[in-house]
Amino acid sequence: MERKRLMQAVLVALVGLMLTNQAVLWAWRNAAPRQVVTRLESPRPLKTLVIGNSVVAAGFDAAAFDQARPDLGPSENLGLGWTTPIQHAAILTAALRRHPETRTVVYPFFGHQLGTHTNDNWRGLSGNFTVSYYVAPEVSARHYAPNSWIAPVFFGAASKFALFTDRYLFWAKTEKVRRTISSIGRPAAAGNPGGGGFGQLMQSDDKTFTSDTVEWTNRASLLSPPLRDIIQLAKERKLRLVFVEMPLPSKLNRQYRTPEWAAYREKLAKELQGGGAELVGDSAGIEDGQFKDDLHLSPAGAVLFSKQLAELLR
Amino acid sequence: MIFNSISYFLLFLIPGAVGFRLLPPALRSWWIAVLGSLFFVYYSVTELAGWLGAACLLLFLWESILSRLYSPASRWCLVGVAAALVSLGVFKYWNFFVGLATSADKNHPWHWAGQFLPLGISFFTFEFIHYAVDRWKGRAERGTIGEYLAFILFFPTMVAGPIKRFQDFLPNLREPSKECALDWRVGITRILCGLAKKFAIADLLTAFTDHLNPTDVATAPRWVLPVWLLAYGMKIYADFSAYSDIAIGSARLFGLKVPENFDWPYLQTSISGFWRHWHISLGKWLTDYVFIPLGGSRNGLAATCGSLLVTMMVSGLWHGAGLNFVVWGAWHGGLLVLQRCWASLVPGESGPIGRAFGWIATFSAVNLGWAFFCMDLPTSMLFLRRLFLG
Amino acid sequence: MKPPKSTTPSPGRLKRLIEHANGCTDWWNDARRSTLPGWIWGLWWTLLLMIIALTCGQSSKFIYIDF
Repeated sequence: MERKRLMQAVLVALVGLMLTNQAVLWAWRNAAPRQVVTRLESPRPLKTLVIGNSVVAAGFDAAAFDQARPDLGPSENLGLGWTTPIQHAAILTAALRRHPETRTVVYPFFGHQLGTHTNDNWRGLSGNFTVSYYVAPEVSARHYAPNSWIAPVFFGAASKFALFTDRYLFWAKTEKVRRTISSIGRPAAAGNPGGGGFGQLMQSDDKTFTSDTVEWTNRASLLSPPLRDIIQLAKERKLRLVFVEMPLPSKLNRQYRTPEWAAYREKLAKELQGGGAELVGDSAGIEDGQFKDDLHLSPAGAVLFSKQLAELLR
Repeated sequence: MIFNSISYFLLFLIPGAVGFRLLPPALRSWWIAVLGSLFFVYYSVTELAGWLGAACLLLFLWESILSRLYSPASRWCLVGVAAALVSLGVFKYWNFFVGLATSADKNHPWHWAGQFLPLGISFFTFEFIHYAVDRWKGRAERGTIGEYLAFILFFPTMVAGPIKRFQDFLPNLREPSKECALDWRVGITRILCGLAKKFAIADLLTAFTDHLNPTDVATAPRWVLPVWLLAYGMKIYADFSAYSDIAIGSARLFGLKVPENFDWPYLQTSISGFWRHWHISLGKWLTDYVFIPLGGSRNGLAATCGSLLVTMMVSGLWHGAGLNFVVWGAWHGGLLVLQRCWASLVPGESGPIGRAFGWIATFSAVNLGWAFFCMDLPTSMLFLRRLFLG
Repeated sequence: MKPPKSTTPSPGRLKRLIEHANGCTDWWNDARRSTLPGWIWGLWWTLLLMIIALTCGQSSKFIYIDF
């Protein structure tokens, strides 16, 4: 009798967990990473894919691009904020599996982003990094833990559990409750800097940026392993791969008007050409009024940039 | 982070409990001993003091060898008690006492810069002392060395209790419950409730209690101070009772029962009632090994009050190596003394109004005492000054 | 005639229910060794697991709330 009761309890709990998992998947179906998955699984044919982080997510307008270059469209924006080249490689791999008709891949970037390689704790990825668990997980496993046999197994298993991969989304709700509780009787705690302060998070001061640029230029390679993966993938599939230097507001793009940056860019262009890729674009080219903060274009700025990009790809 | 980590469940609890059930009786004690040793080493290395902390497993080995010499009225029992007190004193209180002697000069040559606490030292030394004293008094059976190792290395209770008694644990170890399904139903329920209490109540209340620091206490509006203090009272109850729930539930998966630690303490209508329902295993240990040896209630009111005060100050010091903990212990000792004196002046049971008043007074006094527990002395004095005087 | 059974839960009964739901007691009614059916325990465990999942991320990474 007691054994039957225990079995019933375990069974009901397992079913309950599965239903909760599905509920989480449904409740957060419009979260940014899940939206990217929806877009890459689009049934319409996609001839141009644009990948990258939040500057791409905010800065590329597919409709404006398609209108300017119908021969390169339909295009799709697969940019996802707060991600690294590891996630970009995974997203591109999954997208190309779904869209063998793709002919052009565009990768807008800024700063030394193309060489940066992070090795976070792959067992506990959070935020938008968790897209690594369920979009071409084997790609992310290879980059996060190159010599680990357990990482691909872990990533594959994690992909089935939205309760795990999307945990940061409902944890953010709990954190909001905590902050509300914490602010009772106290002034509201200063939140993470958003909006206008964003650029300061991402870019260092002029002197530091210039010395970093010199240090980067002296390295053997300016490209991180996932970037080389992307280049290799494009080569194998005979795709046109174009890296685009994103426009930045004047406060930041003066860092790109130096001989040090010119030298870095020249070396980068050579390395990309060696892999069959192109480098286009200019960090100036869009006036300050078209930016919504220190880094990201406004919707109107995105339209402008997308049309400029369409021309750059002729 | 031990009980609320995946590694605890996947590496230790589930394999431990399943293995215990499947192994023949002769191997069960050794299974617990081996697993407990691995648990101690693993969490010492990953959570605490590294390999130096892990080496403190030798304390268990030393104790298990020494315990073979214990017998009724044997002086070796006193050696055992002294050894346990020395380990506790050195690891936990060295810098505290050196600080008192040298006016807290951290550059003093006697100050131990790399001081660390071995995992669960406050608890396992108390189990060592209990066994030594009860063997000396002839109250506890010897047991085999495997059984004693299982007792001291039983990992669900190793880190933070409940503090077990060998004479209660041994019969259970020799004849664990055979009602596996019932044990697992109750054990799983207890563990899940403990985890939910820890995360959903204790950790959430940290949003209030993080403000119990000198800056916030000095500048906050007065009305929020009791809110923070009451939140601390709830948080420490939820946190510690959750830990006990997980420990008791974990033991249950093995088919073993360990003592309860909390029994609605905040509903008690007297301070002595509170201490019979809060951290019950510690209260019983202090009664048996501190209060009663000091004379207990046998030698008149004045002596009883003295014993109570000393016992509670020992309790305070055991909770933490700091003067604020001693003051906290003295606060509770004072309350117990007050209650004894009141009971001697006004004997007899109180009616409903008396019990209601008793509940309000007990609840308020206990929560006021937490001010000394959660803040250093200067901050707690500032807190109380602002609370009562503005 | 027997007086009707009280339907108002007494504090004692509520305490017993909480203790039983918490796993402190094996049985709701010790004399008859009675407890709730297995599926109710399953639902209770599911609820507890959901609470744990929702709140176990505190004091670890909290991210991207203001971005």
